[in-house]
Amino acid sequence: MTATPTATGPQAAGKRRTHPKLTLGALRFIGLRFGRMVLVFVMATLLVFSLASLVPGDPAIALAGEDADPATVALIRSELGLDRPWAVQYLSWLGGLLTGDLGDSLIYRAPVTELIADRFPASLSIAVSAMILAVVGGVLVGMLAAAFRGRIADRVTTVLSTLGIVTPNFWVGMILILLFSFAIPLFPAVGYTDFTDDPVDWLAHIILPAIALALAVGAELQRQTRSSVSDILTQDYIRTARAQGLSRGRVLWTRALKNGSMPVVTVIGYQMAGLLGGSVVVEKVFNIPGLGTLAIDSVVAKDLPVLQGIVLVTTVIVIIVNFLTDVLYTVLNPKVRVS
Amino acid sequence: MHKNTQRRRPLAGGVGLTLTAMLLAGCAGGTSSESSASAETDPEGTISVGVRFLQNSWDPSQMPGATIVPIYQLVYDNLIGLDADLNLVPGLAEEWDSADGGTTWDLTLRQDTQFNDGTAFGAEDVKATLEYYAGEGSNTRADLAEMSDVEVVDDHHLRITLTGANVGFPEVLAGRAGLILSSETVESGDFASPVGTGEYLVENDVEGVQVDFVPNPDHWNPETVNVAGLTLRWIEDPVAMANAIRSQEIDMAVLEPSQADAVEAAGLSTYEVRGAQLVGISLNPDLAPELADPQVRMALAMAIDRDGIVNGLAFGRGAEANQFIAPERFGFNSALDEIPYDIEGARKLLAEAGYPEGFSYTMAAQANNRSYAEAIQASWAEIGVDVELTFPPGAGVAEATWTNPTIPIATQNLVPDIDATPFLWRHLSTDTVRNPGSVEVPGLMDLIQEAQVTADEGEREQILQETGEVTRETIPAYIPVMWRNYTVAYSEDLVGVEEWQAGYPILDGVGVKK
Amino acid sequence: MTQTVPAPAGATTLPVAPPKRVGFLRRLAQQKLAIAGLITLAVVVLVALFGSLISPYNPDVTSLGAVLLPPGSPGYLLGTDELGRDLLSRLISGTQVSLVAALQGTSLTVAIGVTLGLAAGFFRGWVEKVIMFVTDVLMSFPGILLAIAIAGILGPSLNNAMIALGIVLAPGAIRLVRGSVLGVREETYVEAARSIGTPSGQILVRHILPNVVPPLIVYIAILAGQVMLIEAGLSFIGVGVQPPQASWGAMLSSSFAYIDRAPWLAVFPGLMIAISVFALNLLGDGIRDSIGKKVTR
Repeated sequence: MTATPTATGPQAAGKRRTHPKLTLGALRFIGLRFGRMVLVFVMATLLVFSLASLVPGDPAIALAGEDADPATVALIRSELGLDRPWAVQYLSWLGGLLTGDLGDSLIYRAPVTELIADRFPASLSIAVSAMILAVVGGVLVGMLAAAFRGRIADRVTTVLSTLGIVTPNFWVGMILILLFSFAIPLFPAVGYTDFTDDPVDWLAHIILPAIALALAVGAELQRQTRSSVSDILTQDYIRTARAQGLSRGRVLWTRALKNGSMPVVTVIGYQMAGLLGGSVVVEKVFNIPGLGTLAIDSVVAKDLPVLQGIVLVTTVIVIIVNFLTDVLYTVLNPKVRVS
Repeated sequence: MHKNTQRRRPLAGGVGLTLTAMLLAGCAGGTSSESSASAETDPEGTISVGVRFLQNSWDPSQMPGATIVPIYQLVYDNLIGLDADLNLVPGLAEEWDSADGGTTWDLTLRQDTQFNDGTAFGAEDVKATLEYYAGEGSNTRADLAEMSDVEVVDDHHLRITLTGANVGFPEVLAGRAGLILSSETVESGDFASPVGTGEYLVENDVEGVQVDFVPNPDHWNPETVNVAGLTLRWIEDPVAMANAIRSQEIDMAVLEPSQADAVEAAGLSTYEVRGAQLVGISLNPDLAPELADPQVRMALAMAIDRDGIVNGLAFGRGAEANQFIAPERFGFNSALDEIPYDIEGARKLLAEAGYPEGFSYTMAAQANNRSYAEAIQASWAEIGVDVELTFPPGAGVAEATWTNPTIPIATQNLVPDIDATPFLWRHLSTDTVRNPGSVEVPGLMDLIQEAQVTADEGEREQILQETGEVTRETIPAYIPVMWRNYTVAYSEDLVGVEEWQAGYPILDGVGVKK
Repeated sequence: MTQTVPAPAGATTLPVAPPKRVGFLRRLAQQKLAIAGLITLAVVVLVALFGSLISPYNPDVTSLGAVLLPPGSPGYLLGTDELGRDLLSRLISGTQVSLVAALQGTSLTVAIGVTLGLAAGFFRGWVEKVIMFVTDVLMSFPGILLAIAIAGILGPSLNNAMIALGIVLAPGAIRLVRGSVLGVREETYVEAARSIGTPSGQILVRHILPNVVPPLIVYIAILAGQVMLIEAGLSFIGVGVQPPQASWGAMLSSSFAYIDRAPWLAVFPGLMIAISVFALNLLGDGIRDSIGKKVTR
């Protein structure tokens, strides 16, 4: 996964082929990837569905809770469809899923899709902002470090990225609150505002959580970019370009970044799952009504349908993002062949 | 701290109720601060309030605990209200009276009041609501267990008959069982958007996140609402709650003791809801037979450092508990000795009872009681009682100790009722789900029954004080540890904040500074 | 002793299997940072093993009259927590809890990773297809969320959380091991060994494992750090270790309530986590650089 510059790299850059043609092979690759995505999705639904079988004892009784009378237990049993054969339960659940019906929350007595739709914007805002922060920050700082390898800028950024990697994100979040909500009151310490209600307030609310979440991923990206760009900068063709009179900055931008973008695309793919998961913890620190806090509440309240819904929705997002990065990868690198 | 402030409760008895109720009607909800407040409040002001618990359903009969009653009281009116100092005041009922010493109750209802769906409020609604609450599947069922009949006399008069006398019945109607629904709602069972007569209308309800309210323009007492909008925001984590009020995300917050000092130091005003919860330990001899022995229970009670818990863990925001009526509440016995922290004495008692080696238990605790449970775990270890803690989520503690008992010992928080007798009965009588091991306290049941039929206020207070003596003498199935306060913090932008003792959040008369 | 595979007659072209441990150790010894990481970790492990001997107090004994004492208070080097327990003693016992948790999660991940990764890389064919497909599926789940869900359903405990985490993190290990196997599988000396009829098991042990182990060690070092961080996060939201036991993450989590009056409660466990993860990373980097060839994640 470390960037090993391919032979096509410098040529493509040299001929300014910014829109590489989609070859037949690439299309076939994308088609196969799509098929695989669908298969993964089906498998994921199976796994999520079978979460219910992990509930110790009779799930209906376990879920019924305090003061449960037999009627309630029966209600939950039929709500979960526990009185039917497993395969039938799964298929009907899957059928509901495809029509956007994830069942009702046992606690809120509201449709799971509605609950998730309420909470989703907050989580997505944070995860996407964190991703942007991490990619932009991580790549820029990584390039900076590579360009000034061994000098002060490199050392400082390396220390910072190390800190980012070794500190728990909720700790960072708490320190951000102490610094930028209390000591210097710039941003709110808790809560969330919808973008559609007030974009400025939205930004103010998500900036600290996004930083807390982005730090680890950004630090990881910084390290990778630093090492891959450093490698590239020592390659012959870059030296040639430099010798031909291209400025250092220009070389860095046009050549090194282009070739360094492969690992970044890959990282986006596999870090999306990490960010969506990590936002659970960060949401709690900042008391953001997102999917994470909903998940924790559902765990506490044993609200299985909601829990299944959240795991499923986030998984589907990750599956789609992975597919898109695969496609992007293919577009960026026409050399990709079905392997 | 409770010596001179014990509140008189003029309406505790049934006799002469009518007159007092009418006198109070003139100033219901109105206070001296309010008239001045309205002059300086911003009519466009909105406030945002942080709450630790939010309702899951607008059906009050599905209310999990008494803590969130004030949230329902925003949209539903009580038959009988409470003022800031817990005195009864008229609500949807303007007058109430019992001619026979507490068995039949005659209520005169407010006229010209309507629900927010436009239908008129009348006696049929009250009847439908009370019967709904007393029915199968209702969490408020126990509150109305003694109600035998509700008779509609005319549109605005109602007669409620009990199975026996209870002079404390008006207090029941001032609690969660007195929140009045429309008869149509009861019939349809549709609580998606609440239909009430209350001060506010629900504008937007995001489950598990927040509820936005706007004032009910048709409320019978328009003076109580001085804002153009109200938002309740659910903030479960105590640190996040403190952070929210400190960073002015919310205007009012309820704080854990650990957070209160820091919030005060940050310049916010606070007040205490004293004795809001009783923290203690429930015991079940069915699962651990030695707990049936009063000496063992006393030993366990004595091996708890109440002073350390109140001052060390709760930073002084609470009081040691030695009885089941909170300091400052009607019937509190201030002459009672605290339960001593006496490890040696406790060891001796255990030895006398035949258990010098102590025992081992699993103890369940709610996550927010973690520090209390750990402190008790540590001090019990000194008398040879080894406790393994488990933290079942949600209602798991109640389930594992009361509903479907599997764990003999648990820390539990009890929210006291306004009147002491239903509280004592519900937790300590021998045939209640809260006392699954049927631990008996000699004399207690007689005293409860006597209190229910004694109309004379002085006598009644004395009887209630005696309940303190008998439960101090024989530790019941619940060891009282501490009365925990709520600390309410509010922004300096608010005016008209009163120190409501009936719960949180109560926002009558609160406005935003111009 | 690393000069392996005495060449059978006629197989003179058989090259010598690569890793030379002497060279590796020498290179590692030259990496000052890696050595620093190693020493730090050794100290942490020693504290975990023998901490109870040096612990000044019983970590669970409370003293409600002496809560939240600052560091340097008489008798309490690092101060006391919200129940008046000695913070130093808590940190020492927390070391054990945290390390055991990291060990549980990491070893489960590695066990799954090595088994399935070897199987996929060695047997290829449908075995590989199935394993890699399952890996793809697992990788699509947001790890922490799935761990929360599983731990929540089974009941909150450190064991459950670490089992869930071990499964959730396994795909990375599977891919790594499979990649290493594939990298060496087609090498001439392995082909040669196979062509002369060496049993599969022997090939696996003699030729393939030696190539899998070095990158795996690097991976384990980084992974253990990750597990430690995630364990802290899980304890923070309450699905990890249960009191009175406390991992560093759990201590950090309960310290937040007192961050105004007792910030040291958040500082020390946070430092312990950061230092340990840092040491693991240094060690991992050092090993990677000492292996002498490029190892990717």
